[in-house]
Amino acid sequence: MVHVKKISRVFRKIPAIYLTLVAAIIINGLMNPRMFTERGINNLLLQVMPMVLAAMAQTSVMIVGELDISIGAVVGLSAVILAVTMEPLGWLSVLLVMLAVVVIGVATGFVVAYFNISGIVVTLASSMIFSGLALLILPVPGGLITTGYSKIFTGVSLSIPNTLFMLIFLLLIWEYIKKCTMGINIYAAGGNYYSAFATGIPVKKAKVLAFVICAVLSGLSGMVLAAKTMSGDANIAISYSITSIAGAVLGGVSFAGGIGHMARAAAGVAVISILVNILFFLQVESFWQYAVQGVILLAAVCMSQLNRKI
Amino acid sequence: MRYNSTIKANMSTIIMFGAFILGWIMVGFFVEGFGSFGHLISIIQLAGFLGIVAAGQNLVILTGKFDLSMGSMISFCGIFFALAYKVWGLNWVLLIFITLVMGILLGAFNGIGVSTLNIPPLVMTLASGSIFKGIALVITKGTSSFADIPEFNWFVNEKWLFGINGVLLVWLICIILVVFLLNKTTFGKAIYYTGSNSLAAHFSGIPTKKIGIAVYMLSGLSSAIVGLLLVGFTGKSYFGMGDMYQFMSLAAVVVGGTSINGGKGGYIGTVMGALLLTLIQSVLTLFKIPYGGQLSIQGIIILLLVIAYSLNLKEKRKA
Repeated sequence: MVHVKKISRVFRKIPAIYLTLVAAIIINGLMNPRMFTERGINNLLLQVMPMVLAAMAQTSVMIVGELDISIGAVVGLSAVILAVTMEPLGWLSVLLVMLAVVVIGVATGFVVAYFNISGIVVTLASSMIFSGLALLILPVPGGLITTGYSKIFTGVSLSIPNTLFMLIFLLLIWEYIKKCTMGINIYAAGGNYYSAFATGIPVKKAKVLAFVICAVLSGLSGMVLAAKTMSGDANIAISYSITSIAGAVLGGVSFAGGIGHMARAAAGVAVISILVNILFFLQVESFWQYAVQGVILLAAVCMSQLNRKI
Repeated sequence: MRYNSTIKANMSTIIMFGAFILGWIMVGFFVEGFGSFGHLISIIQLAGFLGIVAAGQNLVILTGKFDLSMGSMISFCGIFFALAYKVWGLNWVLLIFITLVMGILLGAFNGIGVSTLNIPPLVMTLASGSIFKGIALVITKGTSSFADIPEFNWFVNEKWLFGINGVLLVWLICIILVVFLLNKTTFGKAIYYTGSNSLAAHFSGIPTKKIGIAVYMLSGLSSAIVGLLLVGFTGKSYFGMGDMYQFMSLAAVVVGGTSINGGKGGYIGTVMGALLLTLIQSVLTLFKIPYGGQLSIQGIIILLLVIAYSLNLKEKRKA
């Protein structure tokens, strides 16, 4: 009995979302035994990675107390830019995407922070601009992604998928940013904007930085997506804006701002993605996916709402 | 002095109306037929759909929340109406009432989630929108179905009343009702008070939660009306029929000068916003600009207008 208590105490310290993720992976693995091979794990990671990056992007904006619904459009735009410019520019196209994404982040953050407009309204308009641009550049899915580029994300080194290295690397960078002054400022600006302002924290700069981090992660998501599909598609990631919010909420990121962990948000969106897999193996018609996603999002929010009351 | 202040308060509406007329005249100068009176009426009729959706959205935004499930509710109600007519063969007048009640119930679902359960409106309406749309997808399996209801199609399409059709008639009634509701009734005042300071309104005895549910019900009702009109207008219902209105309704309200934080604004501005956005869209289509370009230009215009309003607010704060 003592051992049980000790074990349960250890378990209680682990956030529930990680346990849920492990459970979901095990259930998925029982249904599809091939998942636990090197190839299966790589495929699973490739499947969830773009969404995980989008959820991490959403988390940085939610921590500062805003919401970004242009993530889907930015992901699509960066995939399209990559697919179109890879042939003429080669590796420079990656640089071009990064540059575009940073500009997008700075512009969005600047308008939100310095004109004092709600992030939802700004990103609503900007998502129209970005998906319009992506459609202008590439009206139908296509473009070219070289195999050499694709291998970077889809490949496996030291029998560990490259995407896993990337994820761990990004999470470590975020942990570092969190410890820095700028990271602390982001959390402070989200926790209580006016008292942070009164304390002399550069709240506006913090907001811009959060949007830049968000845009860069969205751009990375588009790059992984392009590597996965070997092409660019302006509309491929439209649903990411909603899914990323759902994942972040499931991972315990607060809407009010100031609270949230990127790793947990990543786990949250991975759970959603794996749940869709499980539904697929249960032979649920694909028509149900829309409705199921809505129900999951609603359930996640209700749970987090109840948690806050307790 | 009093007239001066009314002009100042309605400045955005006046500018918007001027922009609409100026745009119409300018394009009419270059393109033959665009400047005719008949075409003006047809643009206004087209704006009716957006205007009616934006009425519901406007009421919700005035309480400081918003509804991003309207596009899905439009699709859901339109598909329900067309399918029920086809499969059950019910009387279409009866079906219209059933569909309107359905819209109100869908709205009530949103309202209860947002007001009673305190779920953030963005998440609640995105989630419920995805549920409504999902149910519509499961029912239709992605196929479109035709609704051939001669009387109803005639009511919506034909210019049977002094040269205006059913859409414009419904919109005119909607404008009168909403403006009356907002300016002359306790309910309207309660909406404004809830939007400007929910807590203070609650302490002064305004049933803010009930108001919150009521505005979402009205937003569901307006979605149902537009769903019906769209079915009558195009003669069919399909899965993505309301998608365009999900964001455009919000855009029309924001462009019309209603504050996204609630408590400030009115429906007349939104009417102008709907007219302007529809004019822009029809001009862009006229000049054969591809869909991507249309989307971008609309986004840029919305963004610029929102920025202009925020600058205006800043000046007021300083004064």
